[in-house]
Parts: sequence; C-alpha cells; structure tokens
Amino acid sequence: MLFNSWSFAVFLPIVFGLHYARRQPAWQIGVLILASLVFYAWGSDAQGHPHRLLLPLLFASTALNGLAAQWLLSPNTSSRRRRVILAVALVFNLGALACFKYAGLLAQLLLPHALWETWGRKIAGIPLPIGISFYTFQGISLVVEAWKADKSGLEGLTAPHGTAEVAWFQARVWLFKTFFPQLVAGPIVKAREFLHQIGPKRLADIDAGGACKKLALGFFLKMVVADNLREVTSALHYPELTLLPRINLLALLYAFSFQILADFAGYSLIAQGLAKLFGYELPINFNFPYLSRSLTEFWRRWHISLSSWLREYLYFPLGGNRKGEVRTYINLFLVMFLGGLWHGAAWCFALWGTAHGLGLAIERWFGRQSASDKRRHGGWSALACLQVFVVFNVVSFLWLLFKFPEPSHVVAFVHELISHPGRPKPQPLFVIVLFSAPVILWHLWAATASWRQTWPSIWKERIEVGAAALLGFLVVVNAGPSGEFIYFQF
Amino acid sequence: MKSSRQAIWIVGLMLTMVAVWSVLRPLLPHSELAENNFQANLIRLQAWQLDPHPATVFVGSSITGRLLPRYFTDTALGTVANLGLDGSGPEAGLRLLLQSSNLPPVVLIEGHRLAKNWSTNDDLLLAAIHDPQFTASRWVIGLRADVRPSSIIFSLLKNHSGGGSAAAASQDSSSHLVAETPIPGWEERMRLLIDQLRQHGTDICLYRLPVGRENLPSDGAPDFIADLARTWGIPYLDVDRECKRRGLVPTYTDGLHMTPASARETAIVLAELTAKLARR
Repeated sequence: MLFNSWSFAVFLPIVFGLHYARRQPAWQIGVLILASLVFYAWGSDAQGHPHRLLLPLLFASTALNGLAAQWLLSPNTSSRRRRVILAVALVFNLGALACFKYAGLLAQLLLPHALWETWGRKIAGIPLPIGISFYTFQGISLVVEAWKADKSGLEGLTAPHGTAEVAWFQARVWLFKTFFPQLVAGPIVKAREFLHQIGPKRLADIDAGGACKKLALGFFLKMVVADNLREVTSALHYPELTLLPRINLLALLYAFSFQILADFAGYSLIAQGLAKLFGYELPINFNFPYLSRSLTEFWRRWHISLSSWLREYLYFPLGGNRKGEVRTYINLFLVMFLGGLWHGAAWCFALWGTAHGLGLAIERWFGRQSASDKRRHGGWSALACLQVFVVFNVVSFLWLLFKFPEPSHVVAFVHELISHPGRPKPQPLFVIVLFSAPVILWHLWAATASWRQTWPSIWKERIEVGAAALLGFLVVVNAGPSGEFIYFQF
Repeated sequence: MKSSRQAIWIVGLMLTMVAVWSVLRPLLPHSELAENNFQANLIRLQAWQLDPHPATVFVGSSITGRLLPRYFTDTALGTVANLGLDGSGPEAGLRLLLQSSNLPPVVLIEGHRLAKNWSTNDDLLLAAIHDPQFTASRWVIGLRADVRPSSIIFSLLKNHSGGGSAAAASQDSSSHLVAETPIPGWEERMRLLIDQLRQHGTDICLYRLPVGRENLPSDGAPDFIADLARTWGIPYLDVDRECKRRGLVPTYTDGLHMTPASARETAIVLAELTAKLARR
C-alpha cells in the first residue's frame, strides 16, 4: 500500500481508531501487527503479482529472527550454540537477500553462457520482494544486538520464561520487524532504538502537533515536489536525452537530485509522522544532506539509518579505522561498494557506491574529513558555500549512475552535456525551477537556524504551524500525478 | 502552544485555505495550459466531464490540443470540448469517451497520430478519471486542475510571453523526433473504437490540421488519412488544404504546434468545414 494512495487514506483512520480503542498493550500490538501485514499484502506489483504472495517470506524472516533472538538471550544457551545460532541467522538473512535480490546478478556472473540462457534468465526474472532490503537489515540488527547483549538482555527485550512471556517476546519482535510506517522503505530501525518503546500508548500522550508537521512536510516533499519533478526527469532517458540542449540536461541533473531527496526524505518524514501518531519515535533519516561540505559529511546526513547500520554492523566489525591506514581504506571501499549494491543488483549501483568510497578515501587522504568536521558547526563563509556547491555537484553527477541502467548512458549524457549547446527549452526549466525551489528553501531554512535562535519561541511556533498548514494545502491543490516511491525498488 | 492544539490549528488552517481557494475560484485566473502533460490533459478532461456536456468533442494529440475551446465560442459549433491530449493520441481520447455514460452527438478525430502507441501517459489519464480527487473536484472546485497554483503561474507566464501553446510542447516535439514504430494492428483497434462510438449514435469525422514539420511518414500524410476515412466509411476534413486555399500561413511555436493566433484561425476554418459537412 502506498502512503499517497486513497486506500491508505481509508486504512489509516481505521487502524488509528482500533489502536486507541483499548489501552491493553496486547491489543495495541496485535492491531499494529495485523494492520502492518494488511499494509504489506495490499495491492500488486507492476507485473500484476499480488503482494500477498510475499507474506510467507516476511513471516519466515520474522519468525526465524525472533526465534534466534530468543535463543541468543536465553541463559540456557551455551556459547557454542549461540555462535551456531548467530551464524545460521546471518546466513538465512543474507541468503534470503542473495536469493531474491542478487540471484540474477550472481547467475549472470557465474553461470556459463548456455546455462545463463536456459536458467539464468529465469533466475533473473524472480520478482524482488518489496522491502526485503529494509526488513532483512532490521532482522540482522535484532540478532546481532541479541548476540552482543548476551544473557543480560536488550532494553525492552529480555529472555522470556514460560509460554505467556514467549508469546509476548515474539509479539514485540513481530512489531519491530513489521511496523508498517517503516516496513517497506525504512528508516532502518535498530532493535535498541525501537524495542524499549513498546508498551501501552495513550491518545493524550501522542505528539499530534509534531506528527502533523512531519506528515505535512513529508507529503509535500513527495506529492508536490518529487511527483511534479518526476514529470520532467522522465526525459532523462536514453536516447531521448540526446535531443536536449546542454542547459536542460544540467537542469534535469539537478532536478533529479532534488527529486530523489524529496521522494525519499518525504517517505521517511511520513514514516516518522505516522509512527508518532501511534506513540513511537523513528530515527531521523535525512539531515539536509545538500548542505554537506564534504562527502564524509554527506554520508552523515543522507539515509542516516543505512549509513549508521553499515558503520555499526559492517565497518566496525571489519576493523573500522583501528587496523592501520591500508585496512581503513579497504574497509571504506568495501562498505561503500556493498552499500551501493544494497540499492540494487546492478553494476551501476556498485559503481555508484565505489565512486562514493573513492571520494571518501580521497577526502581522508587529504585530511578533508577532519577539517570538515571542525567546520560543521561553524558559520557560512564564501568558502563554505563553495564547498557545498562542489559537493552538491559531485553528488548530483553520481546520481546519474542511479538514474541510468547502463554506464554507457551516463557517458552519453556527459557527452551531450559537453557538446550539445542547442536552444534551451523553457517549459521543463520552469517546472524544475518552481519545484526545486522548496527543497532549496528548506535547506536555507536549516542553514539559518542559528540566526533564528533569537526569535521569540511563540513566533517560531506560529511560523511552523502556518507553514505546515500551507504545505498541507499545497498537497491538496498542487500534487503531481501520484507515483511509487523511488526507494521501493531497493 | 500544546501539541494537540498545534495539530488542530494545522488541520483547521489547511481546510480553511482549501475552502477559501474554492470560493475564490471565480475570481482566480483559470489556466488553460499547464506545466506538464498530465495536468494539461486533466484540465481538458475536467472541462469535458465536469462542465455541461458539449455536443462536439475533438479527440487527438497535442496538435489538436492547441485549438482551445474558447476559439470556437463565436462559431457555428459553439461550446466544444477538446480532448487533444498532450503526449497521447486519439486512441486515449476515444477510450476516455467510451468510458463516459454521456456520449456526445459529434466526435471529430485528428488524423495525425492515429498510430500512436499506447503509453504510461495514457494509463495515467484513464486512471485519473476514476480517482476520487477527480470526482471530488466536481464539488470542491478548489481541487480542479485549472486552479492549480503552479498551472496558473505557468499559464500567466506563457500567455504573457506570447507563446500560448499548451503544455509540454518541447517534450511532445522530442517524442515525435524519436522514431516510434507503430504496433501492428492499430488500424483494426481504432476502427473498433470508432464502430463502438457509432453504435451509440455518435457522428464521427476525421480531420487533418496544419503541422509545422513535413508530415510524419505513417500517420500524417493527407492521402493516408483520406484513404483511412474512406476505408472506415467516415467523412474527412482536410483543414490544412483549406487553410492553404484561403491563403492562411500558419506559424508554429516549436516547429510542430501552432501558435495561438494560427490555432484561432484554424479553429474557425475547422468549425466552418464541420458546419458545411453537417448541412450536407
């Protein structure tokens, strides 16, 4: 089910009403789990396969991770068995990803030509279960944290004793894994960030104002900014792009940068707003990434839940920066390469991740990372603005690897950008300027936060309320044609 | 301010803005154009579906889309609806018509893009008329596409600059340039759609407009359209030839679509030819 669909507009009030109809945690958790499964199973993909066919995989993933966590936390489990359980759980999670997401790529890579023609293409045709990258990473987070916690337990999740406690334990795990606001496209929540929040919720306690502001901004970014920009960025398609003049190509490149941010940050904000409505807090996923002065800073501001997951569960276990310079660079490359592949089973994504890894390594080599960190909280000088502009352009060019399925199309784009002056086409430029402006203003608003600190709090409050209402109004009267979220494909 | 009070204020203010926007609609400049294909088409669809049903409906591509309904007001045709859809062809318009319970007595079909392949643009349009927002815009007029703030700004700028052409001219002309091979069977598909309309008692006519570029190889050539009309047993109006006979020299915004002045002149010629045909 899409957040920006009419079915969701009916679904949400029903779930909200049922959730707060009774205060018992068992009821509330039950309602949320059931609602999440309905949310996940609703509708069908572009090929007409019903999403409900994907439920068994979600069930299997949740059940196995739940059992693994339970056994890992149990005082009766020996150290040797704990190691085996952890290994099995990791193999299952990564195996499911490999099977459903990367089987096609691996088959193409490993199978001889004849086998590829007969079997490989069939394997490559396996549809990608929606949200698998997100809920698998949450599963890994659960078992790894249960492993790290040993027998002392996690905050909000301790070893159960007796049937009732086991049922309660598993119910919490199921809610953590399936909670509908973040099930399909994140933010990727770590077990320790969520489990301790599970408990009875009262309607009077929810942060309704905060939820409304997040929802207004999230829906605005998705339905007004991203959906309207998508209408023009669809021209970023080979060979049509070869007909476009240089200025339009450059504008489209920037437009795609703004679109992808608005689309994904919009989704994350809606997820946060919805979670607030049910009394839960989800982590921030975007912190004005286009204000970054270095690529290192960009990765601290963009898809924060993924980069922090990769840092915690991949970069640190690999040794991080504690095993010498060479290993640090290798780890950086590896993490960014795998982070790129996480987005999709295509070499373009791997190339995109590797290019970012290369950028991070270069910054580290020249000491830009630490310099950038020192300046992060400083003011806005001309140099800082120049750095932001350069980083934004680097990031934007690298998005081309996201947009085009073939690296050769990226080369064609760059070739046209250099060699095709042409007469600018004003209509797409109008759309790009009009619908990119809110993203720029949103970033400027954040960049001038320190300047507004002296304002009376009542002013700030009124401006926020007025802005949220205006954004909501624009969602109603100026939305673009509704479309899927870009990150659904990952 | 308490959080719950903030929420009430946000929702209340938002609903008030929508209500005020709806009330102000008669005072607002209405957009006939929009910044993208979908919204421009939505304006035309809503004008046809939600306003009083006109007797004559034009069906075609963005080439027809330039013939704004107001150009016909003082002609024999009077009130018309224009389903000249940007980025689409006559097939989408005909399918939309056939979904309506209120079919018009006269449908004029553009001959230029009969062979246009079905696209996601067409799927979006067919889905749009079943969207609850489309239905709601019948009553909450602030939801209508012609009072969309960005479309109003676009329309004002476009009219001010004198371009006045409908949306996405540039995208349209690009898509014309990228050769599209028609999917075989399109003639049969179109004939079936036309037959369905005729079975409902609708009079059909095929027409050809002036286009800036040399006629497209498969579906724009005069003889080709005339032959199709003969095969299907429907009348044919060659507006392009009539414009040339009258000494009118059309001008184009992008080499393909007519400027507002030319579109107005062409609309008058088309209305006169249609009236003459009706008298016969």
